[in-house]
Amino acid sequence: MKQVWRTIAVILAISAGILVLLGYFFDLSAWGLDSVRQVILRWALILAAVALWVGAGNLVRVHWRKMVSRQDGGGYSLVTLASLALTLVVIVVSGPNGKMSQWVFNHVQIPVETSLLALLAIVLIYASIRVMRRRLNPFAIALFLTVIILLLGATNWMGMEASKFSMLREWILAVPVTAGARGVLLGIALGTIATGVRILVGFERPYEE
Amino acid sequence: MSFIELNRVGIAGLLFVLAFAAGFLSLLGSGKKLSRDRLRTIPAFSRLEKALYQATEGGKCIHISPGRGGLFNLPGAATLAGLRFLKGIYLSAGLSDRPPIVSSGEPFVDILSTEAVEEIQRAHDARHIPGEPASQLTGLTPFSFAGGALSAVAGQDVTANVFAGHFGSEIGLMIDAADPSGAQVFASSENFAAQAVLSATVEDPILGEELFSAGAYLQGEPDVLASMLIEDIARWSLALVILGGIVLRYLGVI
Repeated sequence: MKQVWRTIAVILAISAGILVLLGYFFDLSAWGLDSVRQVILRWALILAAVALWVGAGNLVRVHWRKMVSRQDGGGYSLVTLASLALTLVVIVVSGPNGKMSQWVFNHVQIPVETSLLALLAIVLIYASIRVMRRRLNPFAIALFLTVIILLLGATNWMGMEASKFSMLREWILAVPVTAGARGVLLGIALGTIATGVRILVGFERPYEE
Repeated sequence: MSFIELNRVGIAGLLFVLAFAAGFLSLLGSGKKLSRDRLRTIPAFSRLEKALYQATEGGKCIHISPGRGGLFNLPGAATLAGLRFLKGIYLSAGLSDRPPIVSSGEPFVDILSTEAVEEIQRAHDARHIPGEPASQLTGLTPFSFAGGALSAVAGQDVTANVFAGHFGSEIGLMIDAADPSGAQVFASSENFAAQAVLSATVEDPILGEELFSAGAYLQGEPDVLASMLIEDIARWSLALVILGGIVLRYLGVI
């Protein structure tokens, strides 16, 4: 019986995948399949919303366990759970676009994330130096010099623009960076197609038990 | 872009996908023996295999994160690649005394990670700590995910951290947190910002399409090996088309 359900799941998944894929290339409304495709996409969105609740449940479970078992950082888990509960109450009372909800977002969420982003800049410089000390090769030196040139090219020195660095910066961004980025993008696109094809022909089954 | 042009592009795209699928299926159906021994060496995968062995032998654990990509759009493929990493690593190191710790930053990824881990645990009767979730969702925004994962990343018993999937620049915080404990870091993402961070902060980053080759390098799975071979053919074909286009444009033909 399990095998039958497994086969049905594979057939459904592959059919849905092929239908959605064809919708990107052809107008399926002539065959009356566009509405089916829209329904599948809508189901995916509903499932995403349900998954969010499941995820929030997992978050609560993980932090509750940390707090109750008095693990290291259990205090942070208490703060996390209290914040989650408080935010939930505010959004239920005020509505997702309400004044209080916006206040929480603008005065708590954004400042905290921005602070971490600022911290990231320092962390990256420190981590780069650390890796360069361990891995001093021509690529690392090229990376270091490129960063210096890009920073100099983007900075005004006492009101004066470093025009030569600025021109060099523009050339680096327009030629080697674009060429390298397109090469990487091509590889990722091919990897993505390969993953999609493996799913569509049933070799990769993330949905199967 | 007119409708006819759009349709041409669409049909060309569909033909490319169909040709890819046909090549993949015919290669698998041909019975040609595909072996991971013939793959080029990627230093990070060689180091990762050693790290998995050391973790199993030394009673230490590995922290794995398939990221926060979800299943929609481009990050979806990176997420699935990350889950391949997760399965490959869990099959190697999950049967030891200290099962790997899994963290993610997106509900779908969390559900799929949990399912993958529990499936392996059931199939191999592996040890798991009662009540401990198979996967931890540490946050739902990029930095809350990174912040929540820091305790797992910097854990005393963690000997290696594997980040494979969709990440943004917040991956830099997690990589930095791994340094004080001396844990090794293996990281890969399809995202440009994350790849830039990895290039600057990780000794052997897994870049570009290498993210999608975990199944081949870690487990030698025939379908991944076959798709990698077709990917190589497609890459060379596209490079030739691009170069041909440049020459024809230079000659004024197109």
